[in-house]
Amino acid sequence: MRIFQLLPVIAFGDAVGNDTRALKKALLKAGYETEIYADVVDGRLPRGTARPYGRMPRPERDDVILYHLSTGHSMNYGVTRYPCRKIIMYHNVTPANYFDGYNRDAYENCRKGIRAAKGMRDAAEFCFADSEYNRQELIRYGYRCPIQVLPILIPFEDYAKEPTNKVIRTFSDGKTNILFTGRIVPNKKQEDLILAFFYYHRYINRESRLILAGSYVGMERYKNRLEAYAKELGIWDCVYFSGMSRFQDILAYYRVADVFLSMSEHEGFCVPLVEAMYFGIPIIARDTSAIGGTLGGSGILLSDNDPMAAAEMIDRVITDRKLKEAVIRNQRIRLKDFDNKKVERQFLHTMEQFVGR
Amino acid sequence: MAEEMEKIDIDAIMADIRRNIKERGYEKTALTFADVHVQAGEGLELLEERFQSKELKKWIVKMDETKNVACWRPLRGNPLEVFLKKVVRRCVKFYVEPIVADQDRYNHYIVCAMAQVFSKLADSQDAKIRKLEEQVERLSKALGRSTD
Repeated sequence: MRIFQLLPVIAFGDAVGNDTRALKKALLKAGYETEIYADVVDGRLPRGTARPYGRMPRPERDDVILYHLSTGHSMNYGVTRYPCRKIIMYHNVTPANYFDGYNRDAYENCRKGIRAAKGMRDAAEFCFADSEYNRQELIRYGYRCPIQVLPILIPFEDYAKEPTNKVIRTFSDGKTNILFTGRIVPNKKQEDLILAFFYYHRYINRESRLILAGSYVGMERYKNRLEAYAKELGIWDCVYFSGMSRFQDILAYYRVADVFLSMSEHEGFCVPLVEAMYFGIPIIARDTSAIGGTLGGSGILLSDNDPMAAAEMIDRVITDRKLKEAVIRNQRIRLKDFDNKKVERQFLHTMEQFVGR
Repeated sequence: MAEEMEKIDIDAIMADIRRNIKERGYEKTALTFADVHVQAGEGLELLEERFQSKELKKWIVKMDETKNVACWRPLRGNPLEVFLKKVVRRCVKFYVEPIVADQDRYNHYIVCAMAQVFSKLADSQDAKIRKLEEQVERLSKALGRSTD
């Protein structure tokens, strides 16, 4: 019995890629014969991380495919044709309409991804979902197999690396840094962040900036609109777009942040929330999709995207020391639920039951 | 023993926040993100646009309006300048005019080709609509309903 982890693209530093690598490590440690196969393997990954999908040996009946589903790809259909046992690891597919008019390929990938997610409902014997939100989505898609919530494995050991000093120096100038990390994509609603920041900056604290740390590759049109929006609001010089950043730069942004603000409308899990917990940054987030589930009672949830309420909440969290401490303390408690050992144990226990070991 | 999270009274905080919003005298900005448009047509960004036949038609009409390149433009300046420009123009006439004629011919072909592309799209759309109408009619008949 072998376990094949399959995914269309294994990228360096992204949540799904990290999760896949961590699961491989856990499976190997537990004595399973396992390998990752991907159609596209990021060249920045360490040698031997994954093999090309084309070179995957044909699975036998008792083998297990662990398929990471997060986008549209021909692999979604190919996987169902193998005669072995299948587990779907559902990381969520963003609704395509967010990308309409911004990126045709992203639109099509998401449209096909959702279609595939629905079409694969009878192929899987078991599913893992990153969050309760994802689990509910699979149920809505008609999945009848058992579905277990398994948080994404996050490589916390990498966060201990040295952050980029230059970034820390640049942003440690006494100004209040409001941070959001994540790709510049329409479902994350960076325009709502900009508007909330506009009110905070204009009415509460002139000595502040908004850091949007994330790549906008493929989303140039959206990013240009965001920049134009910030310009029209008169805050263009206080909104910083980092673009594609090195991992150490991201660590530095977390080090200088005073508040982590998310107005995202669609998240399947939202790893940056856990990262903010790790770095002890108070989180204020709009309560949508998987956000509330990931925060698990910690952080501060906003019921809607009211920018003035968000601006006031930023001020409150920064100025009310007791509140800030309570928020950070709660986040630290929640962080323990994402402990890799705990998640690994849960995963291996489920796998043991699944393969009948 | 597992640590317990501290209860944060969000309702009380929100009540304070609502009061602060009133006190600070926020003025709601009229500018929404939907109002912001970046200049279209820069680089390959236009490739991300959704197809609209009226847009295609608009651009074909613009192409048709500008397909003929004018090589004679009104000459401006004092009488001496105008005279000198006329001389220069006459000198380069043998060279410029055939190039402009070639360009005009090429532009004309492009406009014709684009018009054909538009017609093809319009024809396909019409055929698709006819097919769907027939399908609706057939299904309605099968269900015993009128299509009107």
